[in-house]
Amino acid sequence: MEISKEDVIHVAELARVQLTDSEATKLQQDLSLIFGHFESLNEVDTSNVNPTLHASGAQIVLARHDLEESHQNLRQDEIRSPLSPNQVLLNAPRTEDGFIRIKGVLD
Amino acid sequence: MMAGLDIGSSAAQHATNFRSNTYTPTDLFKAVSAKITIQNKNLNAFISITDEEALKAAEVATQRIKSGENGSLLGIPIAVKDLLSTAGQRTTAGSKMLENFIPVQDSTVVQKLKDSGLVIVGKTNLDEFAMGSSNEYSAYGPVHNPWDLSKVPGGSSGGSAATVAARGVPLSIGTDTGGSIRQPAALCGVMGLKPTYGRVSRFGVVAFASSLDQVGPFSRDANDMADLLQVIAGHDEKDSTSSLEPVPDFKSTFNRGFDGIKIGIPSELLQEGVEDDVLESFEHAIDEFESRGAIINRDISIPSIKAALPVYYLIAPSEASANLARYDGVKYGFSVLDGKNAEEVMSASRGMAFGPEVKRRIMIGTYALSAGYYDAYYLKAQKVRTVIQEEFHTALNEVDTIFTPTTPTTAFELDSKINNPIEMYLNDLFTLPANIVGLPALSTPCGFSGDLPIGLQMIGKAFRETDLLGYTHAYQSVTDWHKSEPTDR
Repeated sequence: MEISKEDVIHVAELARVQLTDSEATKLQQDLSLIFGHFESLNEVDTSNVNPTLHASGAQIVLARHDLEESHQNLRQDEIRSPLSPNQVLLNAPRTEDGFIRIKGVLD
Repeated sequence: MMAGLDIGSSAAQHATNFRSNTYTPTDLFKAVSAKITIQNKNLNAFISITDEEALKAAEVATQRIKSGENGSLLGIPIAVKDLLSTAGQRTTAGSKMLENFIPVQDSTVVQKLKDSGLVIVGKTNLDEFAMGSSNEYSAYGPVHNPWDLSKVPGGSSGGSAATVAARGVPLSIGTDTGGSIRQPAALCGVMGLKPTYGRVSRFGVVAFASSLDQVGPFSRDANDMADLLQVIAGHDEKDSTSSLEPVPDFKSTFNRGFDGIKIGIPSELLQEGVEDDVLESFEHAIDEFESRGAIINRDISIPSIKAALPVYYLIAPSEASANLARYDGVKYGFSVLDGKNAEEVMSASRGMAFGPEVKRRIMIGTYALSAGYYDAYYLKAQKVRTVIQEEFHTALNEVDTIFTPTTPTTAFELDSKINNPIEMYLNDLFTLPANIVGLPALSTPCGFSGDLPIGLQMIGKAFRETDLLGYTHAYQSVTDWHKSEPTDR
């Protein structure tokens, strides 16, 4: 499987990860190799198989009958104290007057 | 050193010595802190050593014991992987991205450790965002294997494994997404357990691949491991994927012995790429079980098990690429200060702060999920995942547990695989399936190749960690592999 350098640069833009030219070259090689190995998945017949939706297959939070039976994993709908604004902003790189400050979104 | 104080004792032995007033948790903490600080020069097992807060916790535990309080792990020192949030204590995830990140809340597991009076002595080194099998992808330098400093400790929970192996602490916490507890446990000669998916809360744990991640314990024997699992297991309303399954007494099977244990060996896994010494130790371990009454079944088959590797390396990076989208240089984490707009700041921050393996996995995941490829890769992988789950289900109807070597090889040389991702990924061949199917699995020492430890992996039925701990307890009562320790580091 051949993945082009243009593909790599495009995907890096989608992922918002700036790459150096040498990183892009290395990733082109790595991804071509790795996706080549993924081809072996086609050896497994999955024509009548559903995709896995939950790791242990057992419990899905929002199934209605489950909810009625056991309240499943949902807690009571009651107000709890959230983090304070100060706590939320504690790790923000740039703040101003209780807000997070960022560069312009539009040029 | 105080008379009667051996830092390398088991947690259970320390607890007994606390009760007989031979020494206090404060005495033990001071000795441990000095030891891990010295060892860290060689091992680099810790990113942070949390002296001040730990001393306070040890003093509180000392008082609680004086006042007659019970609690099997009260006052026991423990190390925690630096992927679990600790309120007020830096949590880096092994990344430059979170170099200065101070969580405002404890993860649920850390909260439970504190409530039970364990003393958190430090945050252990790991591959960046838990992505790696050698601990070489940490932004804080590699961890060295205590058995041979030129070798890797395994990963991603390399620091947690190395410090328990080096008798720095009796217990530690790791996380396991594709083997990140069991593989370093095997390579460092200690016990490591990945519980059933949902057994332990993931709240406050930096997310890697949410359908695969699970927190679990390291220890040197089954008794200590059962005690630690007892502390951290259970439903948590802050994690909706944590299970409502009742938490059993994890020592309830400690008297079961070997009689009638039905052990399955998936022969298709052992056909290629396993080192001779690993295979030999594995077979010796099987003989120990068989000669004492276990029933070995070599005919079980998981025909699609080799597809576990590509399934894992599609699903884990796909989930990772979504989870790591939160590091945007805006809310928290590393941020470049210059850039012409928000998007440029974001891309530059991520480009500068993520290391090579994290970038590689974000790229794999983003590509696999991108338009036109979703069905061919991600959806296909989730379907094959279902096939593998059904095959495990069928096999575990015939046997109680599946045994494999934990890893195909012993610890490898630092730098030997770092530029070859495929070869690095092959380390996880035996450990990945348990994550893909959500089943519990542990590794316990079963031999050596030269100076390097070998691990035996047991995979069990869902929520039956108790079975695996019982088998291990039986095995450890007739063997001494788990007692071997590296010469003092």
